[in-house]
Amino acid sequence: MTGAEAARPALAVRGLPRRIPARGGAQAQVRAGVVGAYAFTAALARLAEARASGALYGSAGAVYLRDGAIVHAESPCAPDLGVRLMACGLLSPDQWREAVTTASAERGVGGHLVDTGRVARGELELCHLLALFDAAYFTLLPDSEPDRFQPGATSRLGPISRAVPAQRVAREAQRRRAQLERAWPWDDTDAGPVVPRSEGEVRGGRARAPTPGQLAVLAAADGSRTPVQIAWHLGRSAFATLLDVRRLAATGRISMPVRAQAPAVPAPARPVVPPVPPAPPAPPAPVVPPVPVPPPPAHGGPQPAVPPSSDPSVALLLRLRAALEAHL
Amino acid sequence: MPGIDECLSEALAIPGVLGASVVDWSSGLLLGAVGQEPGHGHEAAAADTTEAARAVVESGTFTAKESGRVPVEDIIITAPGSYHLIRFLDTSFDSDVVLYLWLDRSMANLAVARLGLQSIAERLVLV
Repeated sequence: MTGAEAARPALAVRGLPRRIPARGGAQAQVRAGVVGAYAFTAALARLAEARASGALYGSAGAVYLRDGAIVHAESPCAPDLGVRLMACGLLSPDQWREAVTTASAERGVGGHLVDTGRVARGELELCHLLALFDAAYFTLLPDSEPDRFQPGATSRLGPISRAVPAQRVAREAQRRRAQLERAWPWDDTDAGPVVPRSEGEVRGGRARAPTPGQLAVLAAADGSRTPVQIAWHLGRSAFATLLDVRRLAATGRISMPVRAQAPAVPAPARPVVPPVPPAPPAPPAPVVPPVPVPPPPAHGGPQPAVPPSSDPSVALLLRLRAALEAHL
Repeated sequence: MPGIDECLSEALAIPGVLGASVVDWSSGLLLGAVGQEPGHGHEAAAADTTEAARAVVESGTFTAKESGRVPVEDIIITAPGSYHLIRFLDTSFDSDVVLYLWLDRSMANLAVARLGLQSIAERLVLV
């Protein structure tokens, strides 16, 4: 098994996310009455209320429950615990693979990493919690639909951090959608390649300086990587990367993608089963996500009437408006 | 080797502490909290902590000539009745996490509290 496979076998094996079959399949009870926007969130709320234990698989990821609380989440969009620990060089792919294959069921991968002195308990809990909320953001996107619930299924990582109430995870996902909207209300930059602009093109000398995270995003933006691919490359939060990219767009540090004239219906409406990516040469594992981020199309707030323009003066006015709104 | 909950319990033992929390300042996510809730609750405090951390990190002034992934150590706010300490964590993996401490000024010693918080921040990421 390669480092990349070690990083994401659960998703590859279970083939997430997938297109769900026509309504009324064997798992119809999971979806009953909850098709449409926020279908996954609604299904999750019902399972939480019933204090269910198991895994709820959806079109953009999976959530693992114990007694109705969330203990783990994963999504092909969000770098998982292993990817994040490997990207910084804390673990080699071999060490991660060893932890995944030899950890006992009771201690789990997390317990194994702590017991062998590879990762501090505090860091492990922080990294897992951050990865959980990151994956949950994508899994709970408004248009993601529940696929099936498998009672009793547990994460291959075993217990790591404290369980989080499902309601809190749903609330956080909603808060994050609003946060993206506030930073820059257009989702054009979410799915396309990130193209930095030269310093001379950046207007407004008193604009806020980029954070270290934003500088890392700019450095990793090679003109072809999307925000999610940058997140996997850097082993950092995919949501934070989306947010940074929108903030960079608002301050004019990246180019706005030219709107494709092509199909009115978005081409990949939903990510399909990702093939396991080829083996990376060495750590830090440059794992490239097989799917582009499904752009969050249905925001809670009103959609802006005017799309970002390639006209520089219009783009400047839009940035100005976003900056003014950010300071209200 | 302490986890998040143990670290927060230790923070509560610092003299004069009213409340403490762990916050992801890239998103404003509250990762853990103990003690009294300042103002409008722990989650609102996490959002405010995030704004303060961002304002300092994105300023051209406070991070001038600083390098590294964590260009700031602490943000200290003193008010007539209270102290607020924000300590940036230097995790091995890529993250933007701070420890936040709210103290009663009449009971607390700022230097002691800062050193206590620094020690907790270091042990949280210690193998």
